[in-house]
Amino acid sequence: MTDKHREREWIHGLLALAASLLLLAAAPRREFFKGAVDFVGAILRYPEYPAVFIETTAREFVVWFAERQGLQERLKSLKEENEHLRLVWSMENARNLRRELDGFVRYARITLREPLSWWSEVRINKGRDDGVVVGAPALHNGFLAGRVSSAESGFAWVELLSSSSLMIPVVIEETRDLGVVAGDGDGGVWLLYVPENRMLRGGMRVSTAMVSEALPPGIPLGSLADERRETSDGYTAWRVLPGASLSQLYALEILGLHPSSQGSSSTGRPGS
Amino acid sequence: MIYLLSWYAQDFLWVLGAGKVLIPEIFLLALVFLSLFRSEDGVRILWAAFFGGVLWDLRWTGFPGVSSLFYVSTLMFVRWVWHSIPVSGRTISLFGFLLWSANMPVALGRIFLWGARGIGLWQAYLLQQSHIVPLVLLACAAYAWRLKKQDV
Repeated sequence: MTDKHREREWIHGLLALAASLLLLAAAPRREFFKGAVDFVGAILRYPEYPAVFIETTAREFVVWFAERQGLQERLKSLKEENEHLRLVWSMENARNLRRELDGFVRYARITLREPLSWWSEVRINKGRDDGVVVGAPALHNGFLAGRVSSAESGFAWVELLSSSSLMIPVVIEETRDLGVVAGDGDGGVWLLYVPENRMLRGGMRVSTAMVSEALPPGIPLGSLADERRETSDGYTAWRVLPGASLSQLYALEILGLHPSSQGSSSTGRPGS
Repeated sequence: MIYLLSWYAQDFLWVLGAGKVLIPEIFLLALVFLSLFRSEDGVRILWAAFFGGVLWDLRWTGFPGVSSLFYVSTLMFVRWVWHSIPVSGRTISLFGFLLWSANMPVALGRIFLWGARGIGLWQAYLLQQSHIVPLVLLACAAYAWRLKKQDV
């Protein structure tokens, strides 16, 4: 490059610098450049459109994603809150039921029912101290559900109708036929030792027969179902539909419980 | 054409960044590259720098003259350094260094005007450099290719 060229370049450079400085000096007066700024903005709006579109789309996507994430977090927290509230509600319900059951005189709350002996026995929160005696009938909804098989000072065990080892002497109210009710251990209750020639039918009422003082006669037990089976020894077994809801027990009415002993014992026991 | 394209690329990236990211000075990089690459086009490049700077200021800074002052003075300085060195000393590394350092004043000025302070200043600078350095390396490769072609 020649000196002449370089000299010319320097002159142009200095001119450009001077022009820049002049513009800079006039820059604070916005009215000079307002029109030019608007014009440049209007012209460049079109070539800049793709960039604006990409930027807007990306921003909207980010906002959408953030909102979605926020909604998911909110949903999660609401789920947790709902589960917590459900638990609190269930606990409160159980507490209310317990309080209600404890409030009934002569009623005992069921405190244990083991899965392995589900159809055989339950534990109640009343015992000898409350006047529970072995052999006392336990009722549910006014129907016989079982008998007290053992009683300790603070609790007792009740053997259920569906237990295969409990046998209750009964009478068919319509025909005055006698028989024995026993469970099969699987939730079924059967009327046994009824001679084949007896004219029984489904729907007939079954109640306890007079056998001993511990089990008074006339306590309703349920009714006969249509299902029956013949046994080899000349008897017919009839299925009994118990009046007590044996699959869903919360409390049992124990005959022989004294209100006075109930009150005295309930004060010192957390379950009562 | 290359002036327009580089200016548009810088403008496009600026719109895309929506002012949240400091984009590299692609236009200045192209100007410096061309001024070192084609020594004879000095006057045209100087006026391209001036008008490009004014256009940029009218579009973005609203303070006409700032960018053109930076661009023109940087170009004049870089060309002065480049032509002061004998042809045998104009190596690829010097080319790259001049290209990279030409960006420094305007880059720092923009970072400062952008409002970055403290640690944010370093973050903005490093982010900007992460864009500039690959471009500088690319330009060095083009210069090396040209040198090789001239030797042949």
